Amino acid sequence: MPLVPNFTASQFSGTPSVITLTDTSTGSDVAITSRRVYLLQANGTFLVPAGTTTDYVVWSLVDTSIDLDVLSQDSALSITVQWMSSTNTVVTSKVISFAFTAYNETFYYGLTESQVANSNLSASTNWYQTKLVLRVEIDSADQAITFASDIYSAQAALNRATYISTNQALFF
Amino acid sequence: MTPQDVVSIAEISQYLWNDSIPKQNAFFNGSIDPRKAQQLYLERKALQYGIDQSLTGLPGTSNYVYALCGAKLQLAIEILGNGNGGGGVIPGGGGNFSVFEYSDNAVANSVTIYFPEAVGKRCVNAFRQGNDVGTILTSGVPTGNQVVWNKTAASLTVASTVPFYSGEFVRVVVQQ
Repeated sequence: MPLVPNFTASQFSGTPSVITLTDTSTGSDVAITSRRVYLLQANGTFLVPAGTTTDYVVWSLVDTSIDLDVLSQDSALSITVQWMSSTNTVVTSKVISFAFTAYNETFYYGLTESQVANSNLSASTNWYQTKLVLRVEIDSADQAITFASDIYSAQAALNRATYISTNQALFF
Repeated sequence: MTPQDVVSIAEISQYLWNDSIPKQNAFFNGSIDPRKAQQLYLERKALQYGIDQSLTGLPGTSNYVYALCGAKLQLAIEILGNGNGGGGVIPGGGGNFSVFEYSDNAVANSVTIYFPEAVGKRCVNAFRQGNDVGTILTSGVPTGNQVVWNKTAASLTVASTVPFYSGEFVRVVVQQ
């Protein structure tokens, strides 16, 4: 049965800088001897962990998943995984876009937690208005990826959300 | 009740509130917080993220969203349990005392108008073209500005001397 390439990506609130890729491919191909990952950003550059000198990250075939500590803020990435032959020829590949939103989602959750502790916060004129804007930006990023794999629009939305969360004193 | 149940109840409450707000604005001069539905959406999304990520403070957040459902809570729970809009009785809960309102346009020269969704409910107020009617009887023949509410048929009957005119707007407020 030939290899049907596939993978998933995840990110956790406690470690938002780390994205975890998991290979969910089925089948096999004896020609495949290595695997690479490219993390393309909306600005056209590739994201790699500190110390990496190539545009890609080597993902050993023996590992089902790989943790990549690459993010410093929420990002929309087009992730390409390539399965290579011994001559470094691409045998097969898969490209999937993702919006990684853990930084802003965690901040957003924190706003609700603050309300739980002090419900008067939501009486402030700006509180709900800004929170609504933040929600819309996060949702927009997700929608841009879900419906169009559009990392440019998604990143723009995430940048606006990040501006709110990193300048919270101006908004809340 | 799990936080995931609260998410479902909040989703239902959101549309119930969203439906109520325009009516309240039209009939009761906007007595409901117009942000209620948006508020539920915003907090429910936070709760969902907290559940997905098993974040701390989840019980507090869950209770907060639960409380935000407010007056729609019992109906939302019932809809969640039954999968439909159903009636208003809460098993073992002493009954649903929420007030509902229904309206329709009458047929010219008729004296009775029906509100099928209000079957079995008590009529607490009725209006003809926005004006209060007189005494609300539950039997007999109405005279003057009296009306008769038949809860079995969910019908409102006015005196034969003052039949409805074409398209007259009639509204009833009912309670379980």
